[in-house]
Amino acid sequence: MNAAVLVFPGINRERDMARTLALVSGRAPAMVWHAEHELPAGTDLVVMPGGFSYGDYLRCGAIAARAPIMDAVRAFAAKGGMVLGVCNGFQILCEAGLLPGVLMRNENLRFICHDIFLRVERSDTPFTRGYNAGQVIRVPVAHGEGNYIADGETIARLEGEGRVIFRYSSPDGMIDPNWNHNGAINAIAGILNDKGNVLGMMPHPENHVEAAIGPTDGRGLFTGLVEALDKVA
Amino acid sequence: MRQGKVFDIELEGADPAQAEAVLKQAADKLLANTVIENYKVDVLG
Repeated sequence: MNAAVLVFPGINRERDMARTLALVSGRAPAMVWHAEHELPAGTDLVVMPGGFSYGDYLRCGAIAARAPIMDAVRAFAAKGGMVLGVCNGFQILCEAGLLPGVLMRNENLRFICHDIFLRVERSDTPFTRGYNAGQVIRVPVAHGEGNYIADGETIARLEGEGRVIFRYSSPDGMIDPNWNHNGAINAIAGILNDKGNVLGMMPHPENHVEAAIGPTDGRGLFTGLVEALDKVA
Repeated sequence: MRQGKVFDIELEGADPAQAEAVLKQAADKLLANTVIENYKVDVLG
């Protein structure tokens, strides 16, 4: 797996992401500055990490979505290249038009930073092959704007095409408003694009991969990606 | 309730029609997220 982690000014989770990618794939990712115009040759996974790109000025992810490197990311995604956006990365993907919808202020208007539970809806995607459908994983969130919304037609299409990949749930996998901490419509925590090669999600799987630190539920996403990409290669 | 934003933008040497076209393009491309926001352009002076 040859991953490239995009680095925008104000991003702060790129090292966590790089550490996890290196740990799981055995290969350190390329760190690609926002002002670049091309991805490194041979890149097979682009990762947009969490943080506060451009200080969240204007709207979360809005300015990063127009950074020079994003044209290369669009071209990469259009050719079927795998793209993962976490937290601010998810917001950037929505602003860039690579995923539909938008992440609004959390329903309770507070920044939320703690572990949550996610129900994995599908295991037949390159991003979730390390899990079983219906499995519940525990991963952290840290965001003020994670309240996913889109127009009714878009939501119906996402649901109808099975593109909702992660939902906020109770520890036993029940979808319940009490466990939908940011108020996202249909408890949506992560979605795929129409071709299935771009995933955006608010929670941080990269922070739960080492037993020395705590739960390792996030690891399956990365081991699955390594398997999927190495099989193609 | 959600608050909006006002941008005061000065353009040099643009006629009003051209200014409006440029500003609408800027609003569509960056300043507004039309998934959740509406915008209005007023050309002054």
